[in-house]
Amino acid sequence: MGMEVLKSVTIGSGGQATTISITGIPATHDHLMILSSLRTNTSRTNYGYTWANWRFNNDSSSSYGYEWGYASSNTWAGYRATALDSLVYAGIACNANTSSEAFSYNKHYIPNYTSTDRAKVVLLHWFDNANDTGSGQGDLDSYPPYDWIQDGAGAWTPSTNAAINRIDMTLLDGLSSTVTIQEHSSVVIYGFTE
Amino acid sequence: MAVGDIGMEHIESIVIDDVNTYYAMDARAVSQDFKHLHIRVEGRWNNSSGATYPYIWFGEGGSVNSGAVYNRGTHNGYMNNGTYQSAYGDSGGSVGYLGEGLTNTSHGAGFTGVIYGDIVNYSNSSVHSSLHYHSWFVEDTASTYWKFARGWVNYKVASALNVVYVQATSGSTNFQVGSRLDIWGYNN
Repeated sequence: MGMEVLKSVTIGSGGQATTISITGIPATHDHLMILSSLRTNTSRTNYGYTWANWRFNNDSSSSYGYEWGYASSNTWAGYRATALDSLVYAGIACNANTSSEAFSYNKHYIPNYTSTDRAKVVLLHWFDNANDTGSGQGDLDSYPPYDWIQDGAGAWTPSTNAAINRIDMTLLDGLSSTVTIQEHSSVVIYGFTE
Repeated sequence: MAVGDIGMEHIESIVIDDVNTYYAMDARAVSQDFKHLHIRVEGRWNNSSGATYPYIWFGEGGSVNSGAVYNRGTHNGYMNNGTYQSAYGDSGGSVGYLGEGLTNTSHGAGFTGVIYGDIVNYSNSSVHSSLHYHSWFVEDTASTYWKFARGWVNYKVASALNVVYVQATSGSTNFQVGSRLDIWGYNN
């Protein structure tokens, strides 16, 4: 079976408040691929991006962890964290410090998303777009603003393993302040079967 | 994009059939029926000077845009040598750099490079298009570590692009037979 679109969200004129909730994900395939292209209205000094934090099945227990490596501003490093109440840094969005046509790119794979006998693993690749015209913008080797490339993995380990049927993507400025997700931002969930 | 649509469709395939002729692979009438593109470049150069990264351009109306509209960023390094990594980028280049993935005749025989990525929002004339890629440079000589690269080419034009043009960095370098450019569309 080929890849099939399971859910599709495109933000319309005027934008949308800080969370994109995708519910009713059908348990019809083996694996998910999720492609998102995002932009918000925030304008933190020296930063051209906003983080996207994810939750599965509306679970806010301390059941998330991640480990990833990044490159930014001519540096590279890796981080890990466990027992989080959401999958923080799961994605990225361009913000108002980039030109108005700039959007981020995030691609995630969730293998075996319907299984109930194992924890869920999320493979993530994301890039802030930094698609800009200002001096130093679009660079990986100079800042401000910072630009990012990141690859890694996250995990969701609830007390009872469950099929993923809902994903909430919350975009926060500095992991705390709410934002408006801008028009043309989009999330598409694809299902595929081996 | 409608729920239930086929998620990905193969829409372009350019395969090199003459080693003495082609230093570029280009698709100049890419379908506008999709929202994003997935591309895969597989290739090897016919001499020892072919750069591991090919050039890439985009364009509209079948014409290549070589204006100063390409933002470039790459993070690369060697897989078993964590001490060597590099990150670089710039704004407003006249061409994009595509990965660090292609081999040439100085590399182990039979090793062909692969670069893959996505061109996001290529058909939306209200936003910029951007290519995000990964590549793996693999070969068998003891003196060369296997190399990775990941990065972007941001095309700072709010347009519906229909040109994807991949070329050697030197006009005297050609693709070897079997090198290819494939493009898939994410159904819209």
